[in-house]
Amino acid sequence: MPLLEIHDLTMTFGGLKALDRVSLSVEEGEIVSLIGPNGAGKTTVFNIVSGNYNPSAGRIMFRGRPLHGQAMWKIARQGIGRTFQNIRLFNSLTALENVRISLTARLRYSVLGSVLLLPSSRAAEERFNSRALEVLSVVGLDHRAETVASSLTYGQQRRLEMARALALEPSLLLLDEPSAGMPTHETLELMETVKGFRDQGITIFLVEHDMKMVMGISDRVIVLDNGAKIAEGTPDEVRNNPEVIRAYLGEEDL
Amino acid sequence: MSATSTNAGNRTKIILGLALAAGLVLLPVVIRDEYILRICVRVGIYVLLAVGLNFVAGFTGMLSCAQAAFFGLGAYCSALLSLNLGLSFWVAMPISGLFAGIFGFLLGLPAIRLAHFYLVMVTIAFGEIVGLIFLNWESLTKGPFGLPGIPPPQIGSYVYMGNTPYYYTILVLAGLGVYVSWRITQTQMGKLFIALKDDQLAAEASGVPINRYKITTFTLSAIYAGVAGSFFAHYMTFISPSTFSTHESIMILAMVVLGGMGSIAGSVISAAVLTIIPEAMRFIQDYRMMFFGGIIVVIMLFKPEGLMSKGRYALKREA
Repeated sequence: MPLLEIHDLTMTFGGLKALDRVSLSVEEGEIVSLIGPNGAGKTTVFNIVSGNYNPSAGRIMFRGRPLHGQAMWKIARQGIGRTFQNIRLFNSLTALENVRISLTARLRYSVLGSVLLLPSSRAAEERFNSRALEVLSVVGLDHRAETVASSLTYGQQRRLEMARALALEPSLLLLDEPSAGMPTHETLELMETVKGFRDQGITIFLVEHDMKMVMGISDRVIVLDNGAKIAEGTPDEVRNNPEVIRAYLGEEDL
Repeated sequence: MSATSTNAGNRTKIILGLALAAGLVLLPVVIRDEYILRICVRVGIYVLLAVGLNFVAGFTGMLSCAQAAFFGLGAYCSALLSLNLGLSFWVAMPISGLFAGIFGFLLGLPAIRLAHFYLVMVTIAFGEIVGLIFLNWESLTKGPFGLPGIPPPQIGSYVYMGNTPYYYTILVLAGLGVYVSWRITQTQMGKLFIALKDDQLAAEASGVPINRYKITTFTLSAIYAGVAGSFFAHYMTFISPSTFSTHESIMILAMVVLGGMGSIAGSVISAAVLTIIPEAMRFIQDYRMMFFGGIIVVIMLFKPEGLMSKGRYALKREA
């Protein structure tokens, strides 16, 4: 059974059909990339899977159970983490605190106990802090734990967003254009990082424009154009597919 | 610009803090003028109101215009408990806080699902409805005539007289309110509140049940207002519906906004400034509100992030 199955997903916004009966699946342990020209509907797929939108039609199954229609936070707690195309961090909070937010799902604490400064709540806060620090070190940001998120560099912010998603202990990670705005050497680091996640047992579903990255780490590539799936296969198969080339006509990277 | 502090900085803060505490405690000893003490008591009440509203409007960014309604609910609850059931202030106050808190919860349930503008409207509507109930449920509230003769607080056989005992009581209440508010920012829940203001979508994507926490802020701010209302009732010994108006709610909201939304110190300073200035301007009675409004306009033009926008959790304007 695939980890994630999308059946005939359709999304209409008013008169605009953003997705037209898109079906795809992601097997456990895979790195799957979703590519396509701008406006193809890639982020819409992510928004539906993560629960931000309710699909107009179609089904999403996660581990064989329906995912569509559930509240976003419940979907996140089922082990689906995501990053955003435009980085969405909690800018007033430090890196550590950003990651701690995701831990709310995982760690027990008592509100009243915290306010009254009970020792049990001290212990809880410590657990939050140490766990968050662990996650930060996975992405190499532990030395920046106390830095306010808005003060981090762009690359650090991207890594922080990933750390925050990792803290959910996800089995599926949705990464929306993780390499956007990155110079080549950082993209190479990112590729290693993502492969590292997969080696830890996390399935990766990726929206990307950087073809070096897509071709470099994907097990499979799915291509969308104008809301429909036009190709699917290994990176090599997709690269040579005439439909894909036509859709990208004018783009240089393929 | 990382959030670190030096040892010297910490020591300065502690010294200043102690000096401030000493000053506040000794104030009535040094200043014997009842008029000034009365202003100080009013400041204390507004600090409690503003710091309470800060949970909703400051930490989570929902501009609720209902704080005066909860203030009134606390006041009427406490007054009626004392007048009709003979409860002392000390018993009536926590009950009134909880009473107001329940209404905060009830208002929160629908309000949090609304986008900003509609949330403002719904909270105003709530305030108006509560005001109308105070005005028209005459058998209970005596309507526009108000409730006179509310008993002052009592400790043993000592009955509160003059402003000084009230000053110390509100100092403790407001101090507790500020302390609890600050403690919450140090805990996970406080971080969640701030995350909700910074980016609600990201919070949801991080597994936070946002509605639960948004309702909690409404409940908390209503509890603060309820406690303030109870104190107010037993301080003034007379309450009437006209005090608890939408206009009052907006003033309290202005305190939170001007202080730098989310900044507790900002709410405190703002509450003090916006309470003292209209009093100081009493001699221009007729034009008082004009100057007050003008000050708000000036601050919004030149420092829209509020006075204490350097505070870590204050709302930051995009450049």
